[in-house]
Amino acid sequence: MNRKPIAITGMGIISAIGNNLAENEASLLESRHGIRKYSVKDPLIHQEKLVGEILKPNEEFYSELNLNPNEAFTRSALLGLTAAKEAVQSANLDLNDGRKTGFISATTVGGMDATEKYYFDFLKSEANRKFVPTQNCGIHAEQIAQILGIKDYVTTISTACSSAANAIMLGARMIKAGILDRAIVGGADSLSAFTINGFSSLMIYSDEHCHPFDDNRKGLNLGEAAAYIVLESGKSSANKEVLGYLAGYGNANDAFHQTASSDDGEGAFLAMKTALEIAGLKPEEIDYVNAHGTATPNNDFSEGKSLSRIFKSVPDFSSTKTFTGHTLAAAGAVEAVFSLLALKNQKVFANLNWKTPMKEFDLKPQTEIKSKEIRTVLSNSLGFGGNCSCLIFVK
Amino acid sequence: MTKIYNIKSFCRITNEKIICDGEIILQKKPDESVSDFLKNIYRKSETNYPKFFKMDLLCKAAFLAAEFISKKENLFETNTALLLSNRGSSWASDKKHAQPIYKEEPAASPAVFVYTLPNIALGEISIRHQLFSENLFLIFDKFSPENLVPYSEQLLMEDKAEKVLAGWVEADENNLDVFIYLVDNKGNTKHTIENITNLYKIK
Amino acid sequence: MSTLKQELKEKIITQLNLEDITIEDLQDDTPLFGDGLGLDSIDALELIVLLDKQYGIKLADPKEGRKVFETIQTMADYIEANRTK
Repeated sequence: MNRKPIAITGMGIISAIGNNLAENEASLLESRHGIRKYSVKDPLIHQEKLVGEILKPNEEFYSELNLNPNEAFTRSALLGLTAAKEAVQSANLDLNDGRKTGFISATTVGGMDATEKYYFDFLKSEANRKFVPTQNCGIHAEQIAQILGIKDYVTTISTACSSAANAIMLGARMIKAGILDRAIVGGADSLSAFTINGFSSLMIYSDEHCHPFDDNRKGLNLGEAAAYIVLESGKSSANKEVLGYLAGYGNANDAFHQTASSDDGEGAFLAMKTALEIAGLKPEEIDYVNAHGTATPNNDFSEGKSLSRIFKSVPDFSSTKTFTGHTLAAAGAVEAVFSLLALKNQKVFANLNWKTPMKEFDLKPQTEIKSKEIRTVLSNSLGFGGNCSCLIFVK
Repeated sequence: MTKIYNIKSFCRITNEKIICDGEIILQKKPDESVSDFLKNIYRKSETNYPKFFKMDLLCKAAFLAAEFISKKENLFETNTALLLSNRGSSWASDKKHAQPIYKEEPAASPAVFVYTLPNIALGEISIRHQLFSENLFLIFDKFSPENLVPYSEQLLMEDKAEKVLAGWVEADENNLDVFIYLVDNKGNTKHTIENITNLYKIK
Repeated sequence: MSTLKQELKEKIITQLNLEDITIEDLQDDTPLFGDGLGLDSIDALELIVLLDKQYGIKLADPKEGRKVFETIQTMADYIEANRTK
């Protein structure tokens, strides 16, 4: 079995804390979050929700990306294209050099943002019907791949909050299997009434800034983002600057409930166990855990349990969703980028808004940014449907 | 050396019938709704699982295919990875969730929202058969055995799973297009793109 | 009160997709969660929506629901006391 870690040679990101990698990095280092009341006057969103919003309207993306204003690009596609372009540029990829390249993208919202804007218009006038075919999940990936010039392999993964982590895993596997030389992997999700109302109906949308792993946590804040990393085989990345390595990954199903996680965090536990095995690492060798940490009563309890089971002594951990909000399908990739930034800067990023430890455990997240030697980072992404994924990044 | 894998069992559900391993389990009546057809398949399966009725059409269809395969080749508490795919994601439930919220007084139903992700089908199968295995849901333009076959084999070769339950599942009130099969060491039909394509074409 | 209870039983069976349960199966004191009817957390949320839409009662904290939704009887009592519709 091929155990060699996969090299990461580039990354790109846009989120509520920055429109590019440098801005995101600065915000994390300065512990500056991007959660605010939703700025858009939207009749479909009941209250003034706290969200991780990217304060840039679609029109600006169109002009920055030199897109034809008459072509339909949904917000998820625009965010995705922005981040994917940055990733490709940062990896200095020549997409015409004959190497087999894949693009694997994740989304849950897809083109829902446009559908919400134009749905009632579709039957009345021709004007916005070009947004009808952009509704589905797969099209954003096709559009981005086409613009970037990636033809060898394009697919979309949709497994809820673990989607982007699974996209990264799939890319790594295809490189190890020799099917691809390199892969641009990650995800994109924009805000939508669909998801905001949905999570509110489950009564897990907090009316406060989310506080993960806090005993008084009330739920999550949603966010929008896109992030991609560039994975390359050993051969393909030779003589290149490597930002880090994907040393291990794991995926397992919690087999408990459609949307809630089990009390003993079995799915997360198994995913972490597998990732450690593939990485050839012992739990005590993990220096920092970037937790899924959505701040819902259920997730943090279940994830807390799984961490206590895997680690005799839980390493420094934090949830960066206090910065960006829960970016759904993009989360796994956003947090992969943040894990790589942790390795670069040798810092554990803060778990903001934390005051009171959970009654059930002796677990305190890192509440302030901390400098320490970091060689390994473990990142969890736990999705609805019991789909639990874990990625391990090393220097 | 590349190991040879086989298709141990399969289940095909269309707008006409459900057929498993060559045997027709039930024919769909011409004026029967997809919903009623799936409920009747459930009753035919003699399974006792009341939570079936809460599922949306996509999950019901995937659940039933897995159920019939499990009768032949036990799935319960096995290391069976799940690899499903479709084109429409969970669009029927998405629509059901979206419509009541695009109103003056948005009214979301939690029981519907919970099904607005295609991978919930993987969750339902995992809960039913207590599978803690690897699971993935992919979105393709059309049924793509050329993608499913290498991925399934990779999982088995890496010993990530002992078996793989893979396939395609589309289900909404107007359409049923399900083809789910079990990949294992032993079996009568070789696990190849050609064989899977031919089995899918069975009328 | 008995019409309310009858109404509740009908609504619960349709709203929660309880296909194989009849009104006769649902006694006034059958435990709805746990060992009785075996409803789950999503069902609880649906009941909260039901309380709001049909009877104008807003339950902000899902934990409050546990006591209210113990049985048909406890639900009916709570609705009688708090309904605004």
